Amino acid sequence: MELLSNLTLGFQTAISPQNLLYCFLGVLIGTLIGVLPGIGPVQTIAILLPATFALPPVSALIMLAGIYYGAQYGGSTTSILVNVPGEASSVVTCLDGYQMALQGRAGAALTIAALGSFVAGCFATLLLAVLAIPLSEVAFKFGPAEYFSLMVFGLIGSIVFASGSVIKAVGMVVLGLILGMVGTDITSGTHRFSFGIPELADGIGFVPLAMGLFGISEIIKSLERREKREILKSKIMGFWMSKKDIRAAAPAVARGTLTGSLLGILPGGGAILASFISYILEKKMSRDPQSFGKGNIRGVAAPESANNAASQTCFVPLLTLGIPSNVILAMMAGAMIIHGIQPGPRVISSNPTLFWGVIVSMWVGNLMLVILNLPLIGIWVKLLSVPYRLLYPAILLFCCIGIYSVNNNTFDIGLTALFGLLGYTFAKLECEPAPLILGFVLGPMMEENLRRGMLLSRGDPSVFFTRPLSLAFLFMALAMLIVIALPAIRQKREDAFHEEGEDG
Amino acid sequence: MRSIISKSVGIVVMAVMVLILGVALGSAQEIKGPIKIIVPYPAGGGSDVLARLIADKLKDSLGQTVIVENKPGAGGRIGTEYAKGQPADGSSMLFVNPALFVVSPMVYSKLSYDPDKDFKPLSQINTYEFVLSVPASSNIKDVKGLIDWMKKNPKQANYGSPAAGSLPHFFGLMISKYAGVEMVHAPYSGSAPLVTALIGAQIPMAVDVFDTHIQHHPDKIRILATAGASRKHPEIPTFKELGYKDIEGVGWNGIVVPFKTPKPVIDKLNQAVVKAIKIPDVTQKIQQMGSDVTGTTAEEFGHILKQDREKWGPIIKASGFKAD
Repeated sequence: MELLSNLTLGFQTAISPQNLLYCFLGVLIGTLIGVLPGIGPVQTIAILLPATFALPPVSALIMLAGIYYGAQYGGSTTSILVNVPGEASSVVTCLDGYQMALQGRAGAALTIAALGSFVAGCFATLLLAVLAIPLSEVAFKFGPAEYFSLMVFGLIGSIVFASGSVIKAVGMVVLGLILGMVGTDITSGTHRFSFGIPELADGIGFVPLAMGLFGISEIIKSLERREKREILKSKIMGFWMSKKDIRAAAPAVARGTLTGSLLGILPGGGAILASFISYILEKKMSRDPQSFGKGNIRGVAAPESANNAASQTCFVPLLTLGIPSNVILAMMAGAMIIHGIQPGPRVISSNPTLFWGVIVSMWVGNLMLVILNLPLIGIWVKLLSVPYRLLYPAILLFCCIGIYSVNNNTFDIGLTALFGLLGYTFAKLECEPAPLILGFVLGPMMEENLRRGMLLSRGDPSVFFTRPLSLAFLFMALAMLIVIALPAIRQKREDAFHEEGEDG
Repeated sequence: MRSIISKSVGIVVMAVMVLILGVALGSAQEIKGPIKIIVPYPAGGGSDVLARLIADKLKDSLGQTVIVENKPGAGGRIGTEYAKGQPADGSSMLFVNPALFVVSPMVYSKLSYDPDKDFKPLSQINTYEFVLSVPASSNIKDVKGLIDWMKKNPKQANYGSPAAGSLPHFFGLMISKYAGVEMVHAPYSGSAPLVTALIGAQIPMAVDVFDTHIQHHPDKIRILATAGASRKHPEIPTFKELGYKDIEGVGWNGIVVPFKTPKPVIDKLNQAVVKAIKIPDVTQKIQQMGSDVTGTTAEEFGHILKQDREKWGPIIKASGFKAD
């Protein structure tokens, strides 16, 4: 009953004309910056922050939140259409989304991305309303040992990103780990592999890396296949999904939503980690893992649902404890403080209109996003018929603006170009960049938590095995290793059998 | 005759010189816009919010466009290096803190700027105190209890800080020295994960800034002591009043200008900045961020810098911490 009255309060706040307007503005801006590669919610919110000082705090937060989850919606668009991730958390969507577009199923991919995000958004909002406070306790159970074991699990799982050679995938993970080493070591505070270049002191940026490996390399590749374009254009089919698509995607959306909702609560990884892990799980659970990376709709549905769910549940620690789990939420905490609201456990009791208003506005915003995005899909797909000679220079330009605006630094643009060339080389060598990205994201977090765990236990490694949650993750990692090894063994035997057969 | 001519020439020359000098002085005080406040951190962070608050008010008092320019990277060192080469005519200011102006010069063998040779202090804006906290679930109730516990459990005497090489890191070492217990430092990547770990009792204690801990006190975190000269919170004692006279740890934000900025310009900017932060609305917002408005003169700020180096220098050196 209390929940009902709280939700009523929330609805009263969220659907006041002014708040509806700011919610709409937020999700519209979010969608736009999500679509533009490189320009992310971080820069946008930073720029708009001073402008929100004049608004009432509820409206300001509703708009900022709208920008954030709106960007997760829009981020998938360019991933699917042109293999350029619009948002860091949409990197995984490139894998199957772009393949679907090549097969003329861009409409279906965009639709499932939008619908999956909507379902995930609704579920996460409900979860936030019902379980915000108990859920916030989850993060406290995670000490360095638990984080480390979760990362081990994630890294071993990353092998499934390979649709080709496992050895190459392992190589790419290791390369990602190495690239992740660059920068200031959190434990000792000293610089590593920065070669005296101050721009490298913070490490290699995620945006230049992902943008270069996926986006720029795709543009370089396109220069060598002018004629294939026609096939793509002629094969664009209906925007709606087939019954078979819906049957395949629905459970994937559900699983992605659950994974995303849980991982979103953990500080640090948030939406990026959620999209990667949900893809790993989806592929592992599939009876036909070979079809992933070749345009399987589940490979779009799961990560897209996961990143949207995570971008909403990551508000749990902020609103209930005052702990921002990523940079964007830290900025929102800043916005709350400016308005005289100290984010923390007291927000719910001292500012119930704000708490419930923001939560309900997320549901309203998700509804707006789906209404806004479904008709847009037709327009986005038409974008594919824009000639490459016009489309790609425009994308390159937006990439450069976006990357520059992260640090106001030209160094990052050079870095992106370098990774673009590297990405092209990988494409030629048939090495997939996704495992590299995951190694890059997980590696530093794994190292940080391993060393912190060892510091706190004064060098006793048993902490990783004696804590139940940590042990569970390690067991899951071991199980996955066996599962990965088994088909490889089977495959080898099959290959051997085939060869014998051919010989004979 | 000749003497009259030479005299009058002399007078004219003098008059012209006075005129030129006057114009020069006048133009020196007239600061050409747009004025930029360089923040060597990303937009949206604590320093940025503070700088934007001030920039907004400076606009009115200086009658110029004042913009905040974010030059993040390398813990603020990229922006600082960038700022030293900016025009020294009052049109560029830089936001700094102890990490850039006190710690970095001691821990980097090669630093791309010299706080004393490349910059001049303008004003200290605000100060924030450090705290020593334990999880609320802990049995430890006060500083003395903590020290006793550490002496009994030396293998668990670990403390968390928001970053390696931060002032709270060294403040922890200061406590360690006075307590006579070797405390192991576990750095986190910022205050948010540190607070999470502390609430979850993943670490027995943490040193951080007042603001990030007070919102959880006393429900989730127990602040044992604050490190300022006087009480920051009516119920939480300071180290000083507990008898740890030399344990004091205060961080700050301040503004500096490129070294060649003329004195009259510095004075004019100082007045405008101090005026801006003393506007009740601004003061209140800064206090809401858990810090105290200071708004010192340029000379006072210079003195604070010197004092801070003398105070932290021996601890930083003794720690053996090196950043490169």
